[in-house]
Amino acid sequence: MKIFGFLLAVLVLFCLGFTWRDVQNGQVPDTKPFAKMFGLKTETHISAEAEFKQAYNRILTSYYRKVKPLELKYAGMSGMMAALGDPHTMFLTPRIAKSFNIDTKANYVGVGARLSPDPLGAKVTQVFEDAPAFEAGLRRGDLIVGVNGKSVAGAKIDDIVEKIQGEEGTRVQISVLKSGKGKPVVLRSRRAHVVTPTVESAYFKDSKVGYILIASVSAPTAEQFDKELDKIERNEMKGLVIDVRGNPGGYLETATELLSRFRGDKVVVKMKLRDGKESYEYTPSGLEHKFTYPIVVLMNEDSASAAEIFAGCLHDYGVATLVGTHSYGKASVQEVFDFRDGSSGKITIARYYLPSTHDIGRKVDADGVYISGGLQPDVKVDFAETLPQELQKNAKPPASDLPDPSFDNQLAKAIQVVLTKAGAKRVSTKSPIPQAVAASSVSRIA
Amino acid sequence: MTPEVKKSLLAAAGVLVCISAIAGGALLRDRVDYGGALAVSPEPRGTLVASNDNNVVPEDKFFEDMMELLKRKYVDGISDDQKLSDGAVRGMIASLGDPNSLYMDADQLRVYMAAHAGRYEGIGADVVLYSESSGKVQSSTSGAEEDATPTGDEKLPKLMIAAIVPGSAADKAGLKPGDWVEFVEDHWLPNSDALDQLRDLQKKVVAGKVPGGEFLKLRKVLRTRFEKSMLPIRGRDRLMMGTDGSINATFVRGAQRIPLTLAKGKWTMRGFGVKDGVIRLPFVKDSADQLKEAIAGKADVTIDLRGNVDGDFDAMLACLKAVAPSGNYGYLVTRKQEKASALALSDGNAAPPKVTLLVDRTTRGSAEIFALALSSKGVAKLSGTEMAGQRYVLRYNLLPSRAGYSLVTAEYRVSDPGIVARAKAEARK
Repeated sequence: MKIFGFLLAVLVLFCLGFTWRDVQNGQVPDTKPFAKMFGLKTETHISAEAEFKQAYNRILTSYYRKVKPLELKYAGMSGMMAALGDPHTMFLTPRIAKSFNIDTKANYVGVGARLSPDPLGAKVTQVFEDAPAFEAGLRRGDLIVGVNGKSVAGAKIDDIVEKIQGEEGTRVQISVLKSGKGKPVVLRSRRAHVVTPTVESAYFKDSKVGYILIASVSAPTAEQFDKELDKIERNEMKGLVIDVRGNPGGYLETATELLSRFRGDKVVVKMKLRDGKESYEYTPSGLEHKFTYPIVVLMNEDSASAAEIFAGCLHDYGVATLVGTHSYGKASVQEVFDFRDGSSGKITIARYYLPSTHDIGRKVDADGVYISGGLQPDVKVDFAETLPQELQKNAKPPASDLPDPSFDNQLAKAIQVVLTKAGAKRVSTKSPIPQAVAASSVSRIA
Repeated sequence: MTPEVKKSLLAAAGVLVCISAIAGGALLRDRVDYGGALAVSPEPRGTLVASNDNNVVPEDKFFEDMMELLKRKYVDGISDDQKLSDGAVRGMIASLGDPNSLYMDADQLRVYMAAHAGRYEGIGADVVLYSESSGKVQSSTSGAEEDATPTGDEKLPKLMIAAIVPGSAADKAGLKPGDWVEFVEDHWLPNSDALDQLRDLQKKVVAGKVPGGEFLKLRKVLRTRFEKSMLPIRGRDRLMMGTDGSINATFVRGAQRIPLTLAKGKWTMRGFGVKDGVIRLPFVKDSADQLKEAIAGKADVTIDLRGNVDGDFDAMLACLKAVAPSGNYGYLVTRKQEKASALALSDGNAAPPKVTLLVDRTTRGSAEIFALALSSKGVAKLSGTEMAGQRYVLRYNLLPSRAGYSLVTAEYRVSDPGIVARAKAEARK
């Protein structure tokens, strides 16, 4: 009798093990796997795979227009990942995966320039320091009208970039129209490993405030941050504005590295993984930089992910004041898995919480309209709607891509806040005059 | 061995068996769920965004492997495979960018199929996505070949009233077919008109004809609207689904804006019927038999095809046989055949009556094909206004989860598109 009791207990435990996955996921144990195990027909007579293949074949053969099989497959993959209802779990086609990879690693083979679309070809919006393109004579404001002797007028920016990029060590001929010159000149540039600058800096002499723009949190970002900080600290510093507006994020490791410049041995985030495990990310110690002046972080709704972690931690550590508008509210961690054909899957694997343990997860209503979430600024200031530059009369091209406090009301406010913190007198800033902050969303690097 | 030792050994063995029972259960579950070893076992570098190199994913296993990867890695765990495959189908259908090929979840499919059979929910109107350029296609660069591909800048589809159930809330409020929907509740349904307007204004500002402030003002209005926008397809659901409460929407007729509050309910569109000698002919299962009975022995017949939206293609063919003699009635352009196949009727009506068809822009889909087929052969004469210009053959496909999708499988042409193409090529020479 006793032995039966024991065997029954073992059986119960076996079942518990079998259904543990469901329990972990907070679901009622599913009977389907049992049925599947004994080869029984489950309620659905056709497997998910079969359903997908059937629809795939039907669309390819029955739809009244020609459909490209590969594009259809990719659309199916995208749809499958979208079905999870998580906007950050997504499929990346080879082309998107490649540019995503370049953006996050900030390291690629090319000539080292940022281009934006232009009817004549591509406009050069930035030439990276020490990059091959700079050596070859390419400058900001140049118009690229041809590559390797062929005109690129009317070509798509992605196609132009593809032509300029190539094997390391090879050369490319770029026909360039310099402003004021009627005839294009031909520049010959090497192709080499280029590290994208993700950090830029400026020093505002009239307010004695330093400014650092972090465009993304990529592999070389912390190192570039150190370099730019070094540059502006040669001046007298009353305060520092760190701008992460429009920063889509990047590596968690890099955010941690950046934060170690401010505080060592501190929790960056608590992560909750799918199996219920928790893990903590700490800043390493001994890398602190001595900041002798107040710091403001400028953010907006397009500051997301690692940029939010950076801003949120500085706030939680009591290091920085947040100015701008609420941030995006992406409280999850993704991993990217590459497939052989060059496509990738970006999958949410964990959720994270900031040191103050609040959840910044973005909430939207059924129609995708923002309800809550993201970091809330200490000083809220909306960006003043301005006229795009090309529509302004007698607009002169700005000297650099960096925002200018006399045209950018959020930056002006950030400077004001940092100076107040420094105990300085209120410095009146000129009333904001419309001017667009360089929109780099359509630009590409080559 | 003392009894104590024996006892503790037994207890230890018991604990071990218990633990292995749990582990064994979990392991077996892994095998059941994942089918043993994974083809993809990526070991990612770094966390927030990271990647590993060169996982081997064979073409034909793409879907399975992606699904397994998601099941292994996704933060919330996935127990419903069907959700993933339904999502994949939704994604594939959406990629066609075709306002007539649509994915529908179980609820939507139920409501829209019932509507085709005349049982409506919502405001009591048939609301369709209408893309102004969807009828116009650009010939591919290969010249005369009729492999038409949509132009890159196809306009955003508008949500348009295609038909109204008599006596419904929509009817009582005075809505008319052809009215289009601009707002549902306070959500804007984006349309190209507004974007074109912005582009025009931008040109004027550049030319110095309009002060820049005007541009800013319009852009701000559009941006505010856009932040609260809704996909037209969702607007359609809001208007056509549900039987309780009411809904606010703004309709546009010409230059006129009509804001309305409409009660939702259940409405029935009259099915087949004969009134004052006019036959109302929906294309559903039994229509052909009823039609045969109604026209038996008559030399002149009038058929009302107004409000006939997205009728069943096979039911339409059966009706065609009932009124038309055997022969060719135009062409169906499909992808499969190199040439268009003829819409050929055998065992048609040997003694056809003279037919008059009442049509307008709510004559759409199968009904429009019916009208064009008959009128092009002189079997019928059309009376009314221009039709919808939607001559597609729609097929519905059901998925295991009771969701489904519609797919355009052919486009109807009155004349052989091959002949037209050849004639064009000749003319070019």
